[in-house]
Amino acid sequence: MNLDWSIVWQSRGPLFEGALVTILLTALTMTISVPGGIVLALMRGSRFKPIAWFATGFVELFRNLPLLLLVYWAFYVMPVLTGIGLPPFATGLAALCLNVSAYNSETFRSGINSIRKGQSEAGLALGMSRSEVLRQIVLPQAWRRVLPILASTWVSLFKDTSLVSVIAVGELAHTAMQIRSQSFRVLEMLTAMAGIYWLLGYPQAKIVDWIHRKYGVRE
Amino acid sequence: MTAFARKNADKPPMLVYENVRKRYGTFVALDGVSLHVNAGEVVCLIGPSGSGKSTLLRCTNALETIDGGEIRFEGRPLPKKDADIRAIRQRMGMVFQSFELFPHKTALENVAIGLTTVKKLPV
Repeated sequence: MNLDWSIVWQSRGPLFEGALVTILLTALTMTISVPGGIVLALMRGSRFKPIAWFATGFVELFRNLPLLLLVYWAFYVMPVLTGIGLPPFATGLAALCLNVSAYNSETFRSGINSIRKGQSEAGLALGMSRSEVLRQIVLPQAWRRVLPILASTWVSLFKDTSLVSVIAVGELAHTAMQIRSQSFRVLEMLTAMAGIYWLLGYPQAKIVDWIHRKYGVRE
Repeated sequence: MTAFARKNADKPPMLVYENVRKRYGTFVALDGVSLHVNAGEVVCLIGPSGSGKSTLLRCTNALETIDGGEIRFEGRPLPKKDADIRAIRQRMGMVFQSFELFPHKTALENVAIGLTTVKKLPV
């Protein structure tokens, strides 16, 4: 077998840029999906039923669709239905945000529900409003409980961003695939892509482990 | 009777329970409780587990709604609106059975949270 690893070194510039796009996609998706998840979780707990039903419908729809299908749907169907055509990066970001917001919503909902009722009642008994109880008592405690899960979601998301390569977003997987098809160095590029994903993903997984140890709630 | 209570003995009671009833499904927790508590008076409720002591206190703080009767604080029935209930709660102190300290706050913050958040006093 004739292997030529020099193609990987020669492509370091595009691969580096692709890795940056992957990190950017991950960071932007989480930046949008964390507040999105909190809002959806609060909407699901709303006493005004139509709001709760809307949030439940949103979560159940986007949580149960395959992410790959969602990416295709956002790219091909959404522009037809809405008349809004977004560039591939924004389309991929939107699809990821819809999916991750739905997951984050469930994460936050479980975190909020895990805070025992007495904590809210103690806040109310002091004369706090419901929103003050939520902001000062419930959410800070829930945040600490869900942080390790959010960190795990981050690591999963980092890898899942490769799915937006199907709509030509220039992230790491797409870039590596492009170089592969141009150079015909399939084995080298796929191995390099795996190596880069692992090198970037492993430290994140270790950070998640650390977050679990430091912030995980033991009862 | 405390000196403060003796001083206030001729004034109308601070807290009045008139035939208060509360049930959870078929379980009757409070069955026509009537009680007058004057300012400064110390009242102990004694009874076996499940006899409704905590329920009565929770109803007093409007953490539970009563099914019948009336609770009056300083001569006025407990209000229904959230904002009005908050004003009453700010004038009551309640210690929970399991204390319910806020674990994400320091001891000082736990003590001060009522003053800083509710009374808006500077830290």
